[in-house]
Amino acid sequence: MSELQTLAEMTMLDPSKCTFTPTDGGYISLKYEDTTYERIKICRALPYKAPDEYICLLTRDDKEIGILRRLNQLSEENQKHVLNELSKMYYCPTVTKIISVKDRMGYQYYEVITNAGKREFALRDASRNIRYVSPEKRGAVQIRDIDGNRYLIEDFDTFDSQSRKKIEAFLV
Amino acid sequence: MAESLSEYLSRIPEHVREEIASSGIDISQIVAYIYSDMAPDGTFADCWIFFDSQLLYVMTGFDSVEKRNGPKKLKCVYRRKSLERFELSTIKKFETERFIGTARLMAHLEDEKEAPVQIAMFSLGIAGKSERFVKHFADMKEGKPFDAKANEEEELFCPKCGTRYPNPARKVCPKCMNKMSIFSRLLGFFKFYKDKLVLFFAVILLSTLFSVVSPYLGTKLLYDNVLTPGVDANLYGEVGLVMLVIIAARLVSLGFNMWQGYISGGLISYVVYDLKMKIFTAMQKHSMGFYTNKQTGQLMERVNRDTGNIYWFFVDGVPFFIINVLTFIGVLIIMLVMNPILAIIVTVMIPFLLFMFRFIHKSFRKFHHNRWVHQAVLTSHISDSMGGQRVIKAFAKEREESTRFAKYSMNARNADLKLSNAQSTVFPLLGFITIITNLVVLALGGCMIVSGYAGMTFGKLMTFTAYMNMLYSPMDFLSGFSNWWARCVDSAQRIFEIIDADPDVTEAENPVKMDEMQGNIVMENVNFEYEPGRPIIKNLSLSVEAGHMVGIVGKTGAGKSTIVNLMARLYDVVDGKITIDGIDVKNIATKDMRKNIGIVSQEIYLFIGTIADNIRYARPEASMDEVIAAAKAAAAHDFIMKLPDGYETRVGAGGQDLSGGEKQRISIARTIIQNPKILILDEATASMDTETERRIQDSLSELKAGRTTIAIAHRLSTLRDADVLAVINRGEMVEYGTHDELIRKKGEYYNLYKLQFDAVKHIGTAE
Ligand SMILES: Nc1ncnc2c1ncn2[C@@H]1O[C@H](COP(=O)(O)OP(=O)(O)OP(=O)(O)O)[C@@H](O)[C@H]1O
Ligand SMILES: [Mg+2]
Repeated sequence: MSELQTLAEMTMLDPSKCTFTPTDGGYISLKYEDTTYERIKICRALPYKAPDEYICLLTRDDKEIGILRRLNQLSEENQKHVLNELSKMYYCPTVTKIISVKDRMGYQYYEVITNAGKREFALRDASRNIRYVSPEKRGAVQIRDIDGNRYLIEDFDTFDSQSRKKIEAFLV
Repeated sequence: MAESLSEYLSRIPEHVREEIASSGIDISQIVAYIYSDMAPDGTFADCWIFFDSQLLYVMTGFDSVEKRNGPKKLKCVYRRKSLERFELSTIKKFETERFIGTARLMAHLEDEKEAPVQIAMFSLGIAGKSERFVKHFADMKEGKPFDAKANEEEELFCPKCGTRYPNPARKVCPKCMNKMSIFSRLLGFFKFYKDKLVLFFAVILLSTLFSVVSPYLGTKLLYDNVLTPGVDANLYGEVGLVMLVIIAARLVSLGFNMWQGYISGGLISYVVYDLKMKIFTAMQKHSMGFYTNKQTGQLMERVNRDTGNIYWFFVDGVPFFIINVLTFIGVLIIMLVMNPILAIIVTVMIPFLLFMFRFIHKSFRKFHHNRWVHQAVLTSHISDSMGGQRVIKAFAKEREESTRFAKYSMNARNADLKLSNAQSTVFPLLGFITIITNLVVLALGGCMIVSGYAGMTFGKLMTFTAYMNMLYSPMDFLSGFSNWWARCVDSAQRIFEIIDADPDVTEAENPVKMDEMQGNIVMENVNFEYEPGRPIIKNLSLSVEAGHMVGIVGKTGAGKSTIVNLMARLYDVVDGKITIDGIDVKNIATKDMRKNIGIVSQEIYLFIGTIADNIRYARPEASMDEVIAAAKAAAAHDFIMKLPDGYETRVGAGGQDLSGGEKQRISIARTIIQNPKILILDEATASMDTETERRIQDSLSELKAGRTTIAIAHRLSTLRDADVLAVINRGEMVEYGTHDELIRKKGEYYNLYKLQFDAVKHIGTAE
C-alpha cells in the first residue's frame, strides 16, 4: 500500500461500525464506534458521476467525521436513512415540460412544469447554466436559475420534444 | 429605504390578507412574516409564515386565479390547505438551514431536549428573507422594537407588473423596460455631433438615390433607346456613350458609399469612445463589492462586447437599415409607375418572401449559436492551456492537452460543417424561389410585350426584373434586423446599468475632511456578510490605539482580510460601526481615507508599466530619490538593481516575471511612498524569508514613529513587534491581549505559538 493510500484509509469510515438513526425534526444521527454524532450533515463528493460513492459525513459544525467509500457497504436499513438524508440535501425538482422560454435583455424567463408543480424562474447565461450533468454529454441535464436553485431533466433524449427544441441550442 | 411596520405588512398581497383576516387573525398585530414557495414536502406552493405576539402561524396553500362574473373577470384567490398555530413562548429561536438546492426554516424550542421543528421549506432565493425573519423574532424576544432597517430587503419583483427581476441587484424589469427610451438615450450620445449626423443622412439619401436610378439608366436606356432602332435617333447606336453614363453613375454611387462609410465610421468611433469613457469613469466610483459581485474579467469582457455590439449596430446596422428601407420604398414606387399590374403581383408575393427570409434567419440562428459556443469553448481552452503552460510542462501533459485540443477543435469543425451544410441546402432553395418569382413576372411581362399591353417593351421588362432583384436584399436584411436591434438595446441597457448603478459605498454628503489622521481605530459590534445569509464577521469589537501595532492571527478563511477591508471602507459594515479618531468612516472623505490608509494586500497587483511607475503609483510626483529610498526600505532595491533594466523593468501582464516575494516587496515600497498614517499589512511578507522580512520590519518601524499598523500574519514571528494581538476565529474575536498575556492564558494563541515554536525546535534538534 502506498503512503498516500494509507493516508486515505485514515479518513475512510468502516461501514460496519456505522449506525444511522433518523431523529426528530428531520435530522439524522450517527453512532460510529463509541461516539454518537447528532444532526450530522451528509454530502456527496461526486454528486453526478458517483452519487452513491464517497459520501462525506460532517458534524453539525462542519467538521469531517469521515468518508464512506461506498453506500452499498452499509446495511440496508442504514442505506435507507442515508439516502433519505441525501435526497433532502440534494432535493431538486424534475422538469417534465417547458411551457415557454422568453428571452429578455440577456435573461431568460422560463415557465416549466416539474414533478413538484408549475414553476417560473429566470436564468442568465444559458449556455453555462443549462448543461449536461455527465461529461459524456448524454442523459440528464441540469438547469440552474439565478438564485442557485437547480432543476433536473432526467433524460434529455426522451424529454418532451417540443420542450427539447426550446433549450437544445444551449447545450454544448 | 427604511419603512414602517404598516408598509411592511401592506406588502402581503391583498388576497392573502383577505384569507388571513377571514381566519380570524388580526393582520395589524403581525410582527413579521415570510413567504415560502414550497410546501413541506418540496412541492411548489404558496405558503405564508407569520407571527404576532402570541402565536406563530403557518399557512399552506396556493394562489389561484378564478373567473368571476362582473367587471373584473379574473380574480386572484388564496386556496388554503392548512393553517397551523404554534405557541411562541415555546420557541427559543429560528434558524435557516441551507441545503444544496433548498433551504428550510427551523424552530429551536425552549426545551433544549426537544429537537428543532421544521417550520417551512423554500427555494434558495428566499433564504435571505428568511434570515431577516429570524432576526425579527430574535429582536422581539429581546424586547427590541420593530427594526425597520432589517426590512431593507431587496425587492425581487417589479412593482409594476410583478415580473421577477432577473437580478435583484439591478432592478430592471424586462417587461416594463422601454426599449425606445433606451435607444433614444443612446441617440443622446450623438447630440454633440449634430452636423456630422446631418451630413451622414444627406449622403445616405444621395447614395440610395443613385443606386435606385442606375438600373433605369443601365437597362431601360440601353435596351429601349440605344439598342432599339427608330425610337430615339439621337441615342441609337451610342453604346459607348451610354456605357460611359452607366459607369459614371456607378462611380458616383460608389463614391457616396465610401463617403458614407467614412462619416459613419468616424462618427460612431467618437460616440463609442464617449460611451467607454463614461463607463470607465462610472466603474471607478464603485465599491469593491461591485467588482467581486460581477467578476472583473467578465465585466470587462461584457463592456467590450456590449460597446462592440453598439458600434456595429450603428456602423453597419443603422445605415443599412435606412438604405434598405429607402431602397425598398423607392423601388416599389418605380415599379408601380412602370407597370402597376406587375408591381401588384410582386407586392402580393412580398409577405410570403418575407416570411421565408424570417424563417431562414431563425433556423440559422441556431446553427450560428452552436458554432459560436464551440468556438468559444475552443478559444477558452487555448487561452487556458497557454496560461497554464508551466503546469502542463511540469506534469508532462503536452500530449493530453493536444488530444483535448483536438476534441474541442473537432467539435468546432463539426459545428462549422453543419452550418455550411445547412447553408448549401437553404441558399439554393431560396435562389430557386426567387427564380420562380422572376419567371412568373417574366412570363406575364412577355405576354404583355407580345400583346403590346400597357406599352410594355423589352427594355421595360428587363428594367422591371432588375428592380425586382433589388428587392430581395432589403427583405433579407429587414427580416433579420429585429434580432440585431434587440441585441443592441440589450447591450445599451447593460451599459447604462453600469453607468447608472449607485455605488453601494458612497461618500457622505458633507464628508469630514481629515487631512492627517491620528490613527485611533475602533470597531464596535461589527457584523458583515458578502452574501445575504452567510455572515462572515460576527459582532466584532476591536480597538487600535494610535501609533500602536496590532497583529491579527487566525485560521485561513477566518475573516482577517475582511476586517481590514472594512477598516479601509472597501466595503460597508452591515451592522455596527467603525470609527477613526472618533469619526464614523462612513462620514470621512474618501480622498482622505485613501491618503491616510495604506494597504499591502494579500493579492498583489502590479500594473502594466515599469517598476518605478508601480512604486510611485500613489504619488506620481515622487522623485526618483524617494522611489529608491522606498525600494530600499522595502528591501527591494537590491533585486531591482540586478534586473538588466533596473527600475525601468516592465512588469504586469506580459512583462518581466517576478517572484512572489519580489512582487510583495514592490507592493510594500508602493505603500511606503504613500506614507500613510495607518498601515495595513495583509500577509505582506508571507512569501519572504525571515531575514528579508526582518529587514523590512526594521526599516518600517524606523521610517515613521506614530504610525498605526495592522498586520495580519500566519507566521507568528512576523508579529513579534505587535503591541497587542487579536485572535480571530470564524469571524469572531476569541482572544485579545499582548503576547505574554495570551501565552499565559494558554488558549488558542498559545496553541498556535506552541505548534510553530515546537516545529522550529524540532528542526533545531534535527540539525
Ligand atoms: N468577495 C467575497 N465574496 C464572498 N465571500 C467572500 C469574499 N471574500 C472572502 N469571502 C469569504 O469570507 C471568508 C473570510 O475571508 P477572508 O479573506 O477575510 O479570510 P482570511 O482570514 O483573510 O483568510 P486567509 O488567511 O486565507 O487570507 C471566507 O470564508 C471567504 O470564502
Ligand atoms: Mg486573507
